[in-house]
Formats: sequence, structure tokens, C-alpha cells
Amino acid sequence: MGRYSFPTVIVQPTKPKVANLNQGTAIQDTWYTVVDVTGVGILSKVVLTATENNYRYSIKITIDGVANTITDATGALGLESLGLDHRSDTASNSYNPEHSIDYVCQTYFKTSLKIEIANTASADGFRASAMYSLE
Amino acid sequence: MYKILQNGQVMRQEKTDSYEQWVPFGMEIEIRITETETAQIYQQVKFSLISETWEADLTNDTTIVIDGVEHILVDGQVTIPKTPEPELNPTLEEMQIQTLLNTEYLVIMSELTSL
Repeated sequence: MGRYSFPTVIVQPTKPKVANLNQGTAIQDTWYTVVDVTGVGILSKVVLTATENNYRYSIKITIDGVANTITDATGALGLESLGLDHRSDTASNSYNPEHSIDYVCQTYFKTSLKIEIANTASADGFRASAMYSLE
Repeated sequence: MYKILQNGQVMRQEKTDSYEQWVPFGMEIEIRITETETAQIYQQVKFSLISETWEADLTNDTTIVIDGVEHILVDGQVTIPKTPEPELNPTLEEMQIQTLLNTEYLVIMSELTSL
């Protein structure tokens, strides 16, 4: 009869956190940091809120030193990538949930997490939040 | 503890035994607006890593754009006087409504006085 060994749980985050960035003016193609963590935890969600005038962004999520960049060059927000698009046809020049996007990640990190956002269209501002838990 | 990134972001540190995180705290150089009865004062401030707060930045010659107009900061600030909002002339519709209200008022008053 074989012996089974259950995998050891190496990540057990117990401290929920939210990091917010309200970038009123953003230089085009410049990375702005939402959070930079050294530790163990899980990234749950990244929320990006833009305006009708400008909603073209890149999101760089670096986990344990490996960067994953999601670029939305078409302005279709999450429709062509990993995100859940809240946008409707309502026109507005102000920050609006309808111009926000949720990137649901649910990804563990063992040593580090860094989330950066760059505006790829113009110098318009944006708001972003990251939800994560740490050990 | 704070640090300033190359892009001008001020980051604040939170450190425990199990993790260290840096979260956004603002920008190194910001414009603060204070309002008086007669004017709006735009003051440029700069984050100091020593005092760990924003302090008045007395740099001259910085240009900022307010309502599409460029202003040069003197001693780090510029004062924009408030202009009183002009009284708008009533529209034709508003004048007609007012005439009707006046007529109605006169009719009621004449009925009351005839009693």
C-alpha cells in the first residue's frame, strides 16, 4: 500500500490589504506604482478606473520577479484581455465605474508583488486599487 | 519611512516581521489650492524626506496652467482673483412666467380688497 503525503500549504495569507493610487495627472507611458510588496501573500484583484476621454492603459503585475504586462492599446479595456469591463455606452468625461475594469487575478506570490500602471494614450489621470492579502 | 520614485511618486513604507510594503502617498511636487473670499491661491509644495511632509516650494519660474491660461509662480505661488459672476438677463420665457405671476397676484389682491 502506498503512502500519501499531502502537499504543505506554503502560503496562508491572513492580513487583507488594499492599496490605492489616485493619479490626477499621469505622464504618458510612465509607470506608476500601486503597490510594492516584499513578502508572501495572494493578489486577488486590480481595479482600474479611467475616464471616457482616455481609457488606454498597460498594467504590469510583477510576481516573484516575473513581470506580466497587460496592454490595452485599443481602448477596449478588458474586453480583449483579462478584465471584466464595467463600461456602457454612457458618455462621460469624469471618473466613472462604467469606465473601470476589474482584473481578477487570484494569484499567489512567494517573495514579492509589484503592480504598476501606465497611461498609454495621453496625460489624463486614473485611479487604481489593488486588493491582496499578506501572511 | 518614505521614498521618492524616479517618476515623482512618494511611497510610504509599512514593515512588519513578515512583510514590507510600499504604497502611494502622493507626488513629490503638488499644487495645493486655498480659497479666500476674493481669490484662489495656488501654492506649489514639495515633499521633504526629512520632515516627512510637504513644505512650501519657493521655486520661481515654474509655469502652471489654470483654466487654459499659463501662470508663472512667484515664490512658489500664484493668486487668482475671483471674478463675480455676471447677472444673467432673464429669458423671454422667464419674463412671460413672471408677467403671469404678477397678473395672478393682482387679480387675487383685487378680489380680496373687494370683499
